Amino acid sequence: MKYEKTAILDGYRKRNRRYLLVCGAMGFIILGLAIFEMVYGNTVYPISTVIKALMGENIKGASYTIVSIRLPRMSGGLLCGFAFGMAGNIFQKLLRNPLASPDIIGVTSGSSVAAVYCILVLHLSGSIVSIIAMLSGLLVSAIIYWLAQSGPYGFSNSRLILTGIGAQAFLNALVSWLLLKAAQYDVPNALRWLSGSLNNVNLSEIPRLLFVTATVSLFLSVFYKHLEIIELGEHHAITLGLNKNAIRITFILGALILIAFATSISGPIASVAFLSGPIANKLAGEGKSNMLSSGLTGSILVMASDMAAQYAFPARYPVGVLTGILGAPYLIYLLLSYNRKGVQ
Amino acid sequence: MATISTLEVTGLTSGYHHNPIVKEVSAVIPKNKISVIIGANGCGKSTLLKSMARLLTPNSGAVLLNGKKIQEESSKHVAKKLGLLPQTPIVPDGIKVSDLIARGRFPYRKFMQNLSADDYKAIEESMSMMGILDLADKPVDELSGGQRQRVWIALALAQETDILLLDEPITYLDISYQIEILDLLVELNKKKGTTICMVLHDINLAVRYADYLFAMKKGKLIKEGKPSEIISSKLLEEVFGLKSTIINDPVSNTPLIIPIGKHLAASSL
Repeated sequence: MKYEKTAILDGYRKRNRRYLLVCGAMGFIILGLAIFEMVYGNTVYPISTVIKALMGENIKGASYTIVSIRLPRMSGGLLCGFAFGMAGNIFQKLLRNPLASPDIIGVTSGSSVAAVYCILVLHLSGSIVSIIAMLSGLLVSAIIYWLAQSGPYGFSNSRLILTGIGAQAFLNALVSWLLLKAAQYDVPNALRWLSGSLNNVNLSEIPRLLFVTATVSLFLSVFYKHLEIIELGEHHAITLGLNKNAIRITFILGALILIAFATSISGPIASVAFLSGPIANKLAGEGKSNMLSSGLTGSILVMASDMAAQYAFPARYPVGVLTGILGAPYLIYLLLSYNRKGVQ
Repeated sequence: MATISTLEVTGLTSGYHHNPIVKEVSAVIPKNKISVIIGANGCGKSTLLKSMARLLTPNSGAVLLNGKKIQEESSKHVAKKLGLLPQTPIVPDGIKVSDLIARGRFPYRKFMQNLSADDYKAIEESMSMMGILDLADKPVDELSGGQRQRVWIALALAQETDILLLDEPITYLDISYQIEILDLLVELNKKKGTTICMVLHDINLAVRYADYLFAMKKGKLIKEGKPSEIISSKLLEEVFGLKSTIINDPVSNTPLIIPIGKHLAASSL
């Protein structure tokens, strides 16, 4: 059967085109940022040198900087940003609340507290800290989810968010306490786990991060329609024949894995998960799942902020300081607009 | 076009968390008709509707769709037969009218595929039936209450179900929109033969628009039948605890309920 009329079709086509255009443009911006990050720094290398160094040619002075410092920093920023952006958007859509991002509901502080403990108390370092941080992030999320669904009334979005905020406050208090008790020379190393930084990303960690981010985000992307249905609320989800519990668990688990892996590499880069979804919605069109576009937005946010944090100011700051400053006004705006219309 | 799906409940006890609100109700929803469940607040009418729409799992008894237990059927299969307009549906921020209605096609859509020609046809048909084709590209959150309700019904229509359940579809609307929405439902029922079952608060609108009434009290179904056959001041006293006089509605020729009220009751009796 052929569909003739175009009145409605035009609207769908226009919105799809806009989505693809915006995603394409974001891809180009990321490519531009990636090239810039590889070329620019204390020494500016020509692109030809960068390519040669990446191909494995040994160029005196340049190879170490390009392959061991700039490449992990750039790819770490790209992948962590993507993971934070996509996972944040999933949480916000799934729980239908713009506040429901993993840095607000306490998932990332689970990772932070474990990492800080490992560094300051157990004096560990390197990838063992990352792995423990990741496991702890997953464990804390499991506990938060379990608390949110236990009791006579079952799972509810607001219970999950409130439990998360509570857990977040508790874990942050633990972190502060650990910092107060710590020896001074350990503290800078631990700070990475508080606001997020790309300073210590190691090239050996990148393949693992790439593999997890790519597989999990591809897997979740195929369920974009299901996310759109779950956004309509429990009643419509059941009415439209969605297996809502299975889908919800799939999305929560997938998003948590993304967050936990990214956090284990860069620490909890503040506000990226919180900002990416809303920005992507505005740019690529509201009323879509916006999974790809929010991931790309996350990459751009982290890469651009990282460059700015390194070179735009007299001193170098960890990237999380800058993204945190970006997030604060938006959080205030959200709270104010809630005040005006009342939370529904 | 006659529809084939049937919906009935047998010995249904249902409610929240082992606290039954609907008790031992058995009923057959009349095919191709408009039926309305009436009753006082808390009598279980909404719970009964929610149980029929499988939003609630029965404590005992069953909801049967085409003779089979609805909980045991595949959820997508049921979604093609039975639709529901919930009481307070959630509008995703900024979504456009046609995008929202397209979500009603979910049970028919193939994995990872775009909307098909069939989908477009169903979406356009339901939008034209609800008279909202010109709103296609407008954001839903900017519409008036009446327009918004038409969008939600269009979503349910795009689902192409034989049976449509509605939980208080006109409660928050102005009187003109209330009539408009009910008229659209009658039209839908006449044109496509859709079986409609809904909960309405306004007893006079219920009587006027229903082919068949279910009257509930304290979780039990106490009376059912055509409005002209079952509506009496005795029934209203029993169901709502309301003293009333019944006259003939000069426009629709159906019973019209005139509540008496405390102050006038003293002077007229």
